[in-house]
Parts: sequence; structure tokens; C-alpha cells
Amino acid sequence: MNKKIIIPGERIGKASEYESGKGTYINNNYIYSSQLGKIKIESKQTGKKIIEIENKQETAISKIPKIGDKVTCKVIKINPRLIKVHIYCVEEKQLNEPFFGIILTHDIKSTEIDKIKVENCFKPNDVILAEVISLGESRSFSYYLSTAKDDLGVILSINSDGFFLFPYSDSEMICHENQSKEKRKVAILKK
Amino acid sequence: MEISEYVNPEGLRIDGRRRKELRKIEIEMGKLEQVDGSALFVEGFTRVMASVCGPKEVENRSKAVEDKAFISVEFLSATFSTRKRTKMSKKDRRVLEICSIIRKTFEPVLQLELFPESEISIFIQVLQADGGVESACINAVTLALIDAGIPMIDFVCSCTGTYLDSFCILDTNFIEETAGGSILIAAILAKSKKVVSTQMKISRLKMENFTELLELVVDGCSRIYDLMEDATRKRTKEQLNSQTALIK
Repeated sequence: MNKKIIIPGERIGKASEYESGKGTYINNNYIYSSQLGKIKIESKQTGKKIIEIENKQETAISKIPKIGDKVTCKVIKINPRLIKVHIYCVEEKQLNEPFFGIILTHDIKSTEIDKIKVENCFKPNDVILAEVISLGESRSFSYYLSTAKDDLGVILSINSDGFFLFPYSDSEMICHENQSKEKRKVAILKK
Repeated sequence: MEISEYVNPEGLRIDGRRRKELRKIEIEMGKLEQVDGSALFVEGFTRVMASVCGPKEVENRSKAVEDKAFISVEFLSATFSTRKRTKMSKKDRRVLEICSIIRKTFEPVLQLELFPESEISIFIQVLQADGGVESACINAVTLALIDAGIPMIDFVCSCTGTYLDSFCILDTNFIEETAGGSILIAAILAKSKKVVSTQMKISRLKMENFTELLELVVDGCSRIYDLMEDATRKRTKEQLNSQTALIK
């Protein structure tokens, strides 16, 4: 295995032999690197080899949410039409500063879309898992998120008395201290 | 101080260097913890610190671009960095000029289309200014961007040269820069040897002298690149070693 450290702009292979992966770009039939790190060559089942630059440091690319990424957010504001959240984590990468996100009411659940009441699903300060469905329009500057899947929804919540709430069913959470139940869109996490 | 000649008959300059000699260069990367990437570039008595934040949410929303990242540059010159102890305002003509040089140099080099609707902010702090500040800024920003892991198509290096007393001089210091010769600042892509940006100050120069000066400056850039390359490789090696030591 080649242990050489590659710096940006270095020519690392022919475009006919390899496919360009993360941290590389193609120019004039050659593959060049665009990041600092080590070469990693992965062969696919189809026979094509992918060349990419591996860097153990968290790189800038992985920190921006993409469509389909699972993000961890905190609910900031709710109103009957939409929920505003701050995105703190993309997949397993923690962000230095939060991004803004919006969940529209009809993206909360996949069933009974007309009957959704926002206050029965989320409360401010809940920690939720959601999926990015759109990068947003140029004016709004927030990512559009969705929780319309079984494993997406509230994962951590605290009630008004300051106690933790635990999942009871897919639409309720229970407090073990005083046995009170509250309605939430709960994420059912598979182990 | 009256200076009669900038290059003496033996071919030595005021600070004892030869015409095509660079000053001593020191590079330190990743010194600041709070930002994504940082670098300190020291060239003789010129000392520039650059730091990079981002890609992140755009602060001023009207400046956002739909399909690529927006580069914001902030330039600060310490009050004690120059010979005259004056404070530079943010809207000073020279500050705006350096900001636009940096932005125009790095816009074609960074792969901005990977980060739509986000912002990459670059902060430059001049701690000591002794000629060649613009070049030192460009070099420091390159290293900081690499430290932050922002994908760029090539390594950008920059150098300053001047035409004084019918001599081409590389890597000017403050006295040579204020002597009244034409100053050329060039930034090149180190691997592909393309010139990304050039700046001329007090431009009254014959064409053949200009080509000679440009060749000299480009040569200086590639020599600076060798030093920068060494520094980045060394730093990455140290980083990788410390990571493996932690795992063990």
C-alpha cells in the first residue's frame, strides 16, 4: 500500500484506469487530488477501481448536509404550519455551528397527513432525528427535513417538571417519575 | 535615510541578500483551535496569520449564491505591524484591495460548487509588515485552506518582485517596496504552472523588463512552493503519527 502523503493538485492516476472518488477531480483525462491525505484505492464489484483521498481529520465535505442524510436536530419553534429546528449533527459528524432546518406539517408523518396537529408531535427543546429531503430555496436558507419514517422522530425529550420522557408507543412518551404520558412522534430505534 | 543604491556593485542588496534570494521562510499550520484551519506564514520580518472557517451558514443572506459557496475575506493589520503606528479602518482602500485580491485569486481554485448556499470565511491578521504582505497573505491563506480540508484544484503560491535601478529583485522588503520601482505580485498554480493573478503597482515598465520580472517572480513562487509543500507533508506526517499513537 502506498503510504505517500498527497497534497492538493498532485496528479494521482489516469481517468481511464480509475474512477474519481472523494477528494479528487478529473482534468484532461487525468485524476488530480484536491485535498491533503493518503491515497485509498477501492475496487468495485463491476471491476472499476475508485481512487480517493483518505484523511482521518474531519473534512469539510462531510460536514454539509446532503439529500438523504440523517440529521440530529433540536426543535426551536413550532407553529401550526411548520417546525423550525437547528441541525447539530449530520450522520455521525458533529457540526461546529448549527444549520437551520424546517419540517413542514405534512412531512411529520406518512399517514393521516390531514389530521396532524403539530403540538401532538413535537415540543420546543425536543431532540429529534430527521432526514434531509431538500436543500431549500435560495430565499429561505433552511434545509427541508422530514420525519415520515418509523425510525425518525423524537429521541430525547424533557417534560415541564424536568424529567426525562421515555418511549411508550409510537405516539406517546411516558415519564417514569409520575407516570404521566405526553404525545410525541416517537422514533422507533432498532437495535 | 537616503539610499543611493539598492544593489551594490558586488550584487548585494541592503539586507545582504543577492538579487534572486528569498528571505527565510517559516510555516506553522493548525495553531488555532477555534477555527477549522489556520496557518502562520513568516517571510523574513513579515508575519501573517490566516484562519479559515467553514463551509457554514451564510451570515449576510443577501450575499449568498445559489449554486456555490461564497468567500468572505476579512483583513486586519495590527496597529504595531507597520512603521507608522496607525490604525487601518475596515473600509480603507488598501484593505479592500487586498480582500479583493484574495477573493479573486481563490475563487477559481477552490471547488466552490460542492458547497451550495454556504460561506467560507477567511480571516487574515498581519502581525508584522515588512514588504510582500499581499504574497504572504495568499500563501498563508492557501495553507489555512489546506488545513481546513477545503477541496482545491491546485496549490496557490505567491511572490513579489520589483524592478529597481535597472535590476529585477525578488522578494522585496519594506525599503525596496517603497523605493518607487514597479512592483509585481504574482500568484501561480504550483503544479500546472499557470498564473492565477498578477498585480502591478506604479506600472511604468518596458515590456522586455516586465517579462524578465514575471519570469523571476514565477521562479520565486515555485521555490516558495517547495518549502510550503515540505511543511504540509511534515505536518500531515506528524498528525498521522499522533493519531496512530492515540489508537495504540
